[in-house]
Amino acid sequence: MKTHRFFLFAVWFGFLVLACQSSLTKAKEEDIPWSFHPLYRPALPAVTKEGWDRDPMDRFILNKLEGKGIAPNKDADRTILIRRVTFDLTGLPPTPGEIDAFLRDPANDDQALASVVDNLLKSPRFGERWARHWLDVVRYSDSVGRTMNASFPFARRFRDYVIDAFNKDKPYNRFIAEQIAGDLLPFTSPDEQAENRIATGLLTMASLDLSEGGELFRLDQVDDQIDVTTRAFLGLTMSCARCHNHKTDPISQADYYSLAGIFYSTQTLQGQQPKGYLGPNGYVDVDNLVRVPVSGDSAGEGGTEPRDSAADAGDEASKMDMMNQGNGYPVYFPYDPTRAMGVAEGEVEDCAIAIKGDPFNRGETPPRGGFQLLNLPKLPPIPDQSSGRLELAKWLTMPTHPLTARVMVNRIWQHLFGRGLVRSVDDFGMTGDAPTHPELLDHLAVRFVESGWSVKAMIRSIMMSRTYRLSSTGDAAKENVDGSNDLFWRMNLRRLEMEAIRDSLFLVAGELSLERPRGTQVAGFGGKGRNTWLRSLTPEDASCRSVYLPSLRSMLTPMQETFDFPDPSQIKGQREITTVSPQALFFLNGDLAGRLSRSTATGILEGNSGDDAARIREAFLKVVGRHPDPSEIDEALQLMNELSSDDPVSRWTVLIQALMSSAEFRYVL
Amino acid sequence: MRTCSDISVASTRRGFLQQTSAGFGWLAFAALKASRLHAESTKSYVNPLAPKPTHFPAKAKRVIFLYMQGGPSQMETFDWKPEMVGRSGGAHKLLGPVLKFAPQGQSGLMISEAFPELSRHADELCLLNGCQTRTPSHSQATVALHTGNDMFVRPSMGAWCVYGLGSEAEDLPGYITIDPPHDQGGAMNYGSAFLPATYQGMRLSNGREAVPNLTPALSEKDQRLQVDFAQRLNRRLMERHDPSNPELEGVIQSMQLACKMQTSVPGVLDLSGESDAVMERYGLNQNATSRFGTQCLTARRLAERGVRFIQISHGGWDHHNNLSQGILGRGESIDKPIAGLLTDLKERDMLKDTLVLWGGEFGRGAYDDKGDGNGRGHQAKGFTMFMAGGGVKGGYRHGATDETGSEAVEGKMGTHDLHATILHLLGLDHELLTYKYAGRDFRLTDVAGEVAKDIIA
Repeated sequence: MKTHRFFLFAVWFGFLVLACQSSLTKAKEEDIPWSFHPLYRPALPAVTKEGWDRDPMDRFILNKLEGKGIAPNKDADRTILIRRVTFDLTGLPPTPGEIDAFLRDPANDDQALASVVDNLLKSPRFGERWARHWLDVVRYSDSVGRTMNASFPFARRFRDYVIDAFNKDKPYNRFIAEQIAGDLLPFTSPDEQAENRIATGLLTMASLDLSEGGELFRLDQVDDQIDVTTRAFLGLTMSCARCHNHKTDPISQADYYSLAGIFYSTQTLQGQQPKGYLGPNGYVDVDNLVRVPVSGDSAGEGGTEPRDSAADAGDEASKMDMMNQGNGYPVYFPYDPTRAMGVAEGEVEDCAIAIKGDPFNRGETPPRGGFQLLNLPKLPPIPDQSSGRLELAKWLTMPTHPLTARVMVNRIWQHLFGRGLVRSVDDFGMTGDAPTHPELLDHLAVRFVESGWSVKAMIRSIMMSRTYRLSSTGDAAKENVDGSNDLFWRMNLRRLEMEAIRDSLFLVAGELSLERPRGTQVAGFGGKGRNTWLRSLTPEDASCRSVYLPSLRSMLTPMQETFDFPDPSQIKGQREITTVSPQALFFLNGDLAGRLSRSTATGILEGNSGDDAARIREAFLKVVGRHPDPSEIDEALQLMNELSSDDPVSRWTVLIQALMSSAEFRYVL
Repeated sequence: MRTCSDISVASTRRGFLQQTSAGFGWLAFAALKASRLHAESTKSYVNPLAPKPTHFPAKAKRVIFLYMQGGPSQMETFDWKPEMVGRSGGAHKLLGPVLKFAPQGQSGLMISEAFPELSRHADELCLLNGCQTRTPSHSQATVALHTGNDMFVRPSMGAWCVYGLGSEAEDLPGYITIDPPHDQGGAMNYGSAFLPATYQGMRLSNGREAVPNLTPALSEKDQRLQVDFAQRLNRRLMERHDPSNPELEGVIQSMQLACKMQTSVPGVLDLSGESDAVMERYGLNQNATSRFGTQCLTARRLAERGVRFIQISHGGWDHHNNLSQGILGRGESIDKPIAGLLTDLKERDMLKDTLVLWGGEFGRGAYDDKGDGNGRGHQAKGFTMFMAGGGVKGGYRHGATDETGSEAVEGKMGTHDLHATILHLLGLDHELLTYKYAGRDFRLTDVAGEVAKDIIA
């Protein structure tokens, strides 16, 4: 099987080399970004220290370290490792029981780690974690943003689709094809058809100015579709070529418009209408959505029952409150499982170049799909009556496409190490960073394709590597040589994202709900200022996982802002990490932190019949994932003794809150 | 002052520093950190926010940056183009100024009718008519203006200033940004990137809860016990695990500062102690000006407390449409507040060492954008910012665009030049203000930047 695959790969590779000889000779070598060069399978490098590697990828790391004379750190101890693995796979901390089981597991480190990793990969919490990484990349939002900021009441279906796709380990090439051309793919059941159509929601979430209409609006929408397609899957900013040839990458304006023609021939059904087409629901138009079949089972499966949140709450008054008194537009939309955001084939039409981006000054009309980016493969021919999205999907998922696999394995690496092998995860063009380990990147990309584009398999392999297991401890001598850890001599310390912080607080308090919220989660028909009535119907302190909280453009919640949630109108493969005083204030004084510390304290007092020391041990294990030193137990006892309150719950609450506000809670070591 | 550590008795900066170093046992990592800070070779702990010596005598001690988001039109504000008068636009045709200009002050600087109050301060203003950014796209130009680089995540200019000079504020961050936009780069525009996190800007919102969660949940004594416990954990983690980690150090310092801010922020935001005359001066009593006026007055109060770099953002300057009414309306909302700020700073003898900077990420083109004679597209090759105070010449015009206002032709000031000039006024040599990261020395100005010496008084 392996040999067969490799043979196929070699054939493709050879074909590609032949196919692009001509264009390669035309372009100057230095004009070709490194990432456009064909994928290849690098030989495993030689290393002096035999037996260190646990996976072939480790040899690439070790080879460079040995070249610089840096010895890699030792493995992290098991306490740290299980916390690292559990957060990375699920976005949640391990429970005290899970920690102790791992510490006591008599199997060797490889086997013990493998069984933990395999179990967590099967958990539905995995998809909730990894889907959010993807949602960052594809500028997922529950509202359109910009001037009129109308809600996307059906965006959540795309979000849930992504979560389910990661849980099912949908092959990445299939995942791409569904998002670009799901409506054109064959299906064997109504459920599959529904899933395929919902996937195309990717192309509908542009942040557009609904006060614009007409051709400019249409071109803006196409521009967003080009942007999300090329940046998310290829790490290229083709949208730069809308008004002029790309300044730094080999992409011409004609290339842009030949790609634009594909989306220009596509109908985008995002459930809204721009100015000039307003219906009874303002900018929201629930008829401008795609229809999806509903089978008896599927309605319940994804939590997509045809019930709405207000009805769940049984609160007619709150529903009334969502009516805008001013003009009678309803701002609330009952959930309808037969509808979703998505695309369909439109009137087939090539897109004329808009000179300097001006929609009313048009030039030549390049044939759609006819673009040729240097030595990249060409798109398969597009039939006359097709938009070309299917061919675009085929092109993106060619096993020999040099960008698709590289970009994705780099994203996966980033989420496990804190930075990509290419630091600029969304920019593989001339202005991006070069990979620190180009051979390793290609090694992983080839493996990814050969494994059938399995994201879970890739994650598992990386987690079982030696490199992933290294301790993150600092070392002055090594820092002197490689302070920014370019060579991965240690694991990077990583701050938890807003979602993981919030979910951990709920989990530790025993209040995390693992249910997916039902029905419509946002309301608001759009308009200027407050008139939009845009709002989340799932409050920030709801006990569901954070991935299920709506993300509204221009209306991030205070917690999202405080902990660097990315602007949902931006394609953002890598989040900012800031360390500011409002974060400390969130833990010390915030209502949510206060309430959940109290629940945690109550739970420990009621559930742990041991002495105070035993309870302190439980508190440490729950909140910071390790056993305390004896001196730390003393310090905790002393803290509680000195507090002014006599109420045990209050005193324990203060201790729990102190643990939650510590760096150890917020960082993965 | 409410604090939540043993150091609450410190009342002077000197006392604060001594107690901090002694009280917290930071010596271990301090030695490591010190080597990264410019112009310091001591082995003992140095608070990274402690004031630092300048490279040469400074003209300005602090900066107030009034950032106009969207790209204000130079042609309707501060760049008078008499040759363009009478051009009424039309599809892709030249469009002359749609607002009237008149000479102002003794210097006779030409200023548009959008700024009647500010015009009275013409002799304090140093117009920079030859400004340039690299790209006429909002997000790239905005990030470039704030960080010097539109392609990589780099520290913001405010972060560089605080890194270079430290802060004189004891209980506030050294860099505060009031209501920054969430888009166009968002937090990158006031971030610290690879500089220690303590230098990044703190966002302050205009409104009821300036900084969320500021009201203490515990009594002062109990909170101090709680925070001391948490800080011991943090220091232990750092010492044992990663002594030179700037993020962990940032966690420790941000918690310390958070405690102090519980009293200092409400104090600085409480404007009730200001006289009616001052409130009136900033336009706090009028709808059009109350928001920006409040921000300007807050900026002055922050400046008085020693904050090194203060930014206020004001949106709505992207006038593709509705140019004349748009500029008049936006102008009205900032005109009186800025004039009030300048008057106020002068009265307090602070204008001489406070650099006020006004401007957007780029300007606007000479051509009619939509064919209706009332809108302009983006233009990065020539636009106007202005400075006042902080050691710059008043009533002075530096640089110029060509006769259509399309491109800077003299006194060009690119982003790096602007940054070099700001650092120079603060007493810092932009070529010496470096930070070693990833194997090389980084600067705010990368490998470029020329100080506009002509504008220095």
